[in-house]
Amino acid sequence: MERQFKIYRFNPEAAPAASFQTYTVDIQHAWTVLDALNAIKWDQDGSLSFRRSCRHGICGSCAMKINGKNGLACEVQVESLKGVITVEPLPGFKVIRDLVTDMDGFFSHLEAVKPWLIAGTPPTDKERVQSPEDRKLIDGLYECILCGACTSACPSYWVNDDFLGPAALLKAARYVMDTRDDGLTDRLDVLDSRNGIWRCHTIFNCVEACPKSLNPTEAIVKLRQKLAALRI
Amino acid sequence: MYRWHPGYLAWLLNRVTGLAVTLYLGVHIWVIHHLSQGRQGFDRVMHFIQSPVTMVFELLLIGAVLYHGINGVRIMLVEFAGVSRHQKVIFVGVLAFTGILFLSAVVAAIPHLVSH
Repeated sequence: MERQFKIYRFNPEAAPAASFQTYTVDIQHAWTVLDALNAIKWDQDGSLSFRRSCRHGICGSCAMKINGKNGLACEVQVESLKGVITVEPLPGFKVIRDLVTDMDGFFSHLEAVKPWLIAGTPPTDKERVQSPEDRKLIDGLYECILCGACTSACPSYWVNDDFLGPAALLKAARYVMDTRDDGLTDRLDVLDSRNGIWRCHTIFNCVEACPKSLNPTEAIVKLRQKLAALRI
Repeated sequence: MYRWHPGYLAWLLNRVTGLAVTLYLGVHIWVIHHLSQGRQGFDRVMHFIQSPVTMVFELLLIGAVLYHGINGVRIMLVEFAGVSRHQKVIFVGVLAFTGILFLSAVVAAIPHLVSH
């Protein structure tokens, strides 16, 4: 079955303005949007640029806006989409070329929240044991694949890209809520800053955008409660 | 604009009604300052204020205040009661509660509008 793909094209070396280019692809059953993009790149237009890696919805490389919704190209089934399929780069990030966005700021915000275990006790030769109940506290927080779909959908991030954004804050919550972690005070200056947790306006775009059905807003609210409790 | 969904709509309406209520505060101060012009000056502005057109705006103001206040409760529930997963249902409740109270205000205002 033939389907049309209207794809965002931008090459700053060739033209200063972006445009859309339409391709017709013979789609096979169960193809994802990534399969279609590969078919275009390999058989029709080798100049089309996009990121992809694992093809299994776990590396987060192929996040893009598909028919107006952020998602992973390798997870979105072509047969689930209607009409001409519009593929754009993630909004809110600077476009480098075609569907490739500049993720430097995104990852620097992630690094700022110290996304690693900060334990208060020195390491031993054994693992840090955690009860099943304590482990359950980070359900819905550890599964983030850092695709950037949530941060790119966040209006607070659009107006101020110094805002840490939902992905970095979800990752911060993943460690703050971990009972083995004692690093809240180490992360306070970043989380409690003017570009930290208080800049979220609970618009829930991040929840709508997350391809893994995570809830960054809930994570941010938990961080706010934690920080508020510290001050009381 | 990303996509239309209840959370976005709730936020957008909260901003619009917040701006409307802030604007009203300015108008209110403008009206009250006419007190300094004596009874005649104040009566003049009150005559304008009590026109049917202004009353329609007053009804819209009631709607804005109702939504802004009730949605504020929704935001507090999300922030403090851990109900963010149910925010869509709560938003429907906010709209329904706002609608019922707003319609009550409209019904109460109709005799005043007709008498003008």
